[in-house]
Amino acid sequence: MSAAGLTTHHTAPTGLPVSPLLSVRNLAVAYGRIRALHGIDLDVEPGRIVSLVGSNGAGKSTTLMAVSGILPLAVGSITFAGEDITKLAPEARVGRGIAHVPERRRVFGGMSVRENLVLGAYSRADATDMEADIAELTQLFPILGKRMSQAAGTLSGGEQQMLAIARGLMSRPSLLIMDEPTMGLAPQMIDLILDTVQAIRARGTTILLVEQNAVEAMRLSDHVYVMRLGRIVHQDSGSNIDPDRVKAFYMGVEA
Amino acid sequence: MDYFGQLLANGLVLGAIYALAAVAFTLVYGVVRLVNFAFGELFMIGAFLTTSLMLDEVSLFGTPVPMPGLSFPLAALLAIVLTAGLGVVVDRIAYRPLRKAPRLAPLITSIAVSVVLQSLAQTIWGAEELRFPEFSLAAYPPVVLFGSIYLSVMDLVVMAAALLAMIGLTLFVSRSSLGRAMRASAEDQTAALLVGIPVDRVVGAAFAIGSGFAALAGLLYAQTYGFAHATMGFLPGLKALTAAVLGGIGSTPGAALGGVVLGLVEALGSGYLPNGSAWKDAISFVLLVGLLYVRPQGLLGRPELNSAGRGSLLGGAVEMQGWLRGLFGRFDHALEKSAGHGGKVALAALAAALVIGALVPSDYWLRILTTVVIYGMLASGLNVIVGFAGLLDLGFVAFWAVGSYLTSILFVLVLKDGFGIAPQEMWWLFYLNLPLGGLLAAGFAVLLGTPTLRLRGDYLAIMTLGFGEIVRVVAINWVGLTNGPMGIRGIPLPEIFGIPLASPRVLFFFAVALAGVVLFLVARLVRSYVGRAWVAIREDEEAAEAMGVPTARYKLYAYATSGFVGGFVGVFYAHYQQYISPLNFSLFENIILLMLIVLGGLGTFIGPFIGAVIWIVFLQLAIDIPFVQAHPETRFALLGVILIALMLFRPQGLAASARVDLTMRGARAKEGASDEPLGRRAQA
Amino acid sequence: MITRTASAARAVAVGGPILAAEGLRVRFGGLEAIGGLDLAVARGAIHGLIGPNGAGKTTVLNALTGFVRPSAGRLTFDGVETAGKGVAEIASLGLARTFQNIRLFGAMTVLESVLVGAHRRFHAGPLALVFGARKAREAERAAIAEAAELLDFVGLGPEVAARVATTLSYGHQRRVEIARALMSRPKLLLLDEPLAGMNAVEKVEIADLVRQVRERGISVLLIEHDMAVMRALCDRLTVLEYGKRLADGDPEAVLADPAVQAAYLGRAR
Repeated sequence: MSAAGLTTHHTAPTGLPVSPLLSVRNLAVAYGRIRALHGIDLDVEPGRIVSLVGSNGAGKSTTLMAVSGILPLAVGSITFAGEDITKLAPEARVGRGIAHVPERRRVFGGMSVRENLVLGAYSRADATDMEADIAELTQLFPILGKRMSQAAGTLSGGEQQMLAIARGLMSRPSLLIMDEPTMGLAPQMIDLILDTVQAIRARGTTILLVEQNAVEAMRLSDHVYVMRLGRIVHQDSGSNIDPDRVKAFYMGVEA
Repeated sequence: MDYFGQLLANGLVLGAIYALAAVAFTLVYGVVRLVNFAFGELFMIGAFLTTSLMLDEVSLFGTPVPMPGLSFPLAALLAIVLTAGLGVVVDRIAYRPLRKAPRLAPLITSIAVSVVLQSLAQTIWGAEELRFPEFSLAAYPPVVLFGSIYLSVMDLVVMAAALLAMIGLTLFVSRSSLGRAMRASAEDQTAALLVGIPVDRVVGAAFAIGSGFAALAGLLYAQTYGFAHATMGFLPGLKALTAAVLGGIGSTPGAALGGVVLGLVEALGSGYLPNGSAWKDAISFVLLVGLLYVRPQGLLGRPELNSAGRGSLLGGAVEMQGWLRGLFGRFDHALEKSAGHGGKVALAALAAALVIGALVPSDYWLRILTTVVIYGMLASGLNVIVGFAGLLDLGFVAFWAVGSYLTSILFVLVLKDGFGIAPQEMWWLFYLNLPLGGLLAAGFAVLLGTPTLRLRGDYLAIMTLGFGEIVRVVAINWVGLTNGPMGIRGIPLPEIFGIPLASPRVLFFFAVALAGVVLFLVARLVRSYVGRAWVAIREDEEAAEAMGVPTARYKLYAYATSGFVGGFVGVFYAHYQQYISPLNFSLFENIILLMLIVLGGLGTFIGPFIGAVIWIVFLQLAIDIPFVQAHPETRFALLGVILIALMLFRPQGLAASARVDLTMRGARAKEGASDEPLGRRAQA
Repeated sequence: MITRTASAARAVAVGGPILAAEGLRVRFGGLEAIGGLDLAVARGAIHGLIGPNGAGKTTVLNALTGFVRPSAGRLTFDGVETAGKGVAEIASLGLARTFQNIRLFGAMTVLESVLVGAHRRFHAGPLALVFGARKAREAERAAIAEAAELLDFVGLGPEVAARVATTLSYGHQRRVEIARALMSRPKLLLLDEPLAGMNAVEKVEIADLVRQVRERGISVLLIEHDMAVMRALCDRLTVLEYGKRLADGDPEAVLADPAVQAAYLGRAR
């Protein structure tokens, strides 16, 4: 099966409730003397889309950076696929199956689209399947196929976002972390990216998402965490969550 | 045409070597934004290793040791590999812990590494030149191009090797997985980590390749000029850095281009300009300074590389462990307690100096103590610009030289040689020269400072370094003004009413008095709104600007103050030594002064003097140790090692907690003695 | 879109806006970060600038203070054209600011940091400083007294003055930063997310402090994400989205505007 390259299925041990793929406990992060997160607990079950929403400075990106190992933890633990990865270096976490598509895309602008994709697979030993994966990703993002030898920095914002996602998928992650994938994009492009998020989940990749468009994030997600001032203040399944309550957190009105 | 062609050919050979070494600077800068000054020394080590491996016997540590006598290619390859390994070790120990520290910390560390490597090489291989062995290829007759341009076979080998290495590197960087990872890390380290690139290892690889290139350049240089020597890496290292900056540091094709351009300019300049070969070093540095002024990013570079590391030059230290920490804790506590009594401490220090001056019996030790005071004063001057304003100035010795030369030229070349006036008749001129030398040097400092205002961090250091070197080359070559490399002899001792101050004890007291003047001057400026503006610029230039501090002007004030002190002390120095030559004002002296401040404590008043006492007294005491007697340069290696350790664990220096109060003495109401209530007044 | 007629009329009544931007544009390379913004801060007002992440709020602040050069548009502060002037020059006209991530001077004490704010009022020459002229001493003494008063004003006791500023708690550092800005005797204070990282108690205190600043006759322009505080604090709000003005007017009305809510929460597809 050709799609096997990019998809990883997590099946829970039979008879037991699904154990979370990612589990964060009592996570705290500090920038110097300033605490940015105060004891975050969150679980991401396999095959799901889980969103973090909340206004600016709530600590969403900080949480994601801690999960991928860029920011050191002050306190807390992170478990991924049953393994404690709290002390693992960021590059080792990629090898374990966590890919992080960072805020503002951060593609390697001076390098070609192909090189960006090849770099996405840096943690993989099996270089042979790489061409097949690239071909498959160009089916998901046809426009990238046409831009293979172009410098990534010359792509439009939307194209760069697709490249950043594709680069993340090249490591064949079981968990794809996406930070503000639609920021600064035109409405049509936003639709396209959000559709892509669903398409990626449909292939079996679990997604942890931070998205500025809270309305869409809630609609898209199986589970939503609402963050405020470095804490999780509310959570519910995507279908149950009350949009007015979330709006109150954003607009400063106590619901 | 023949002459031109020959110069062109020579320039290309030289350019090829510069280009190879420039690649080292550029590769590492590209990935970690560090100007690793130590590449000049790795260049030298590559040369020594190759030469040693080709010989049958080499004297190491003064004892003959049998060597394998390898062929040139084999020896070269082995030397490259060994030097690459050394580069990785240096990175691991000295630079990696400072990756997140402010930019100045690794920069100073790399200078310290340079000093260590150079001193060690001298200890191992001795202070003499090691002759590069003759070998078969070099015996071939030269190739003649266009009937009249002579190129030896080895010249062709040099060019071919450089070309091959460049092509190999280009292919490696563009095609290989590691090369790609290197480019990715250079562009965006966080993104590189996020795609799973082990950035630390990639940086290590960049150091390995860079060091290998430096070694290759060094061994080709040794082959071309026929020798290896412990200080051989210094000037080519600076030239290679110049080439890298010319091309746009961070850009590999830029480094190649910069190297070739520099080689050609030097060759053609020394061939066509009047007395060109003497001025060829100046040509390179004038090119460097001019280019940095017009286009700081270099020919092929991108402008954003000239970025400021915001935040203090200090900090980012690794936590110190165990008894050392306790020791420093007690030391700091004592310093902090004394800091509240600034005036009393200054008086006590002065009294201590006087008592010591009165009690020390030997003239020998009095002379050493006078040197301590002179170096302490000079370091205080440098401390204004580096310690308080946070601008790494590697051209400070130029200000010192200006003061020294002013008074020497006036007394010896003009009065005595020109008009036949004996110095005794004009003894008072010395006292006039003190402020005059200071003012001239201050003006000079402003002149040098102005074009550097746009530059920050590494580029600032490089440009000031270029200025310092230009001044030195001018001092050597403008024989009519400075007497050139012979220096100026017969400078009279300071006199009072025609009575020379010949006793070492009196001279010591005189130096102490001058130190009092210097410290008073610096302290009064620092402890006012001027000093606050300097420290604000050092800590956060943008925030200072937002508070209404015209930062450009205050940087110039710092240059001027620093220059004044340099010139002022320079005048005394010339009369004390009675002889000066360009050798007194080398970059090495500047580096030593910098190290003294870092040792004692950047941005403190006593730091420069603490550094000077420790260093110069140590220099004298250690010479009695037999091993040191045989290898005096090991003392510099030790200083370098201490500096590296300090940068890693205590970048603020020994006297870190002798924090300087930045408010005017007496303006602050003391507890209990306050006769006007704090506040309320301003509200009116 | 909310009309601005009512408040604009009030602003004109007290002598025109203290700060005005007309058609402000800022470009970074090919990207237009601010695309023709009109903004007027009335004298004596607390004016809020809000908008979702990446809307360009800090860029506006940087353009107003001279850190970023506008590509087009007119900027006037207190009747003086400021576009193209340097940061220090604009600051000396009476425009003081704080930074999103507090930027105090690392090695300085609180008192020294605050004194830097008075930089423009010191004029003693080098000789006066070296010889400790009476005038220079008096200027220093007056500034220290004023700094002490300001530290008291922002709620910091005299014992804090001698501490190194960066060793203080985050909330106290923010107060020092505000005192430093006030030390320049500004006509307008720009606050970039002054409440970021504060706990609930500190937020109330800082908001109170902002009100007291206004009571001293200093106008305030602030960027902030806590809408509850903004609602209570501001006389007027300007909402930015994609570098353009989305709404402007009375806080309650602006925050109830569906377009503003959509800017924050996103629109359903």
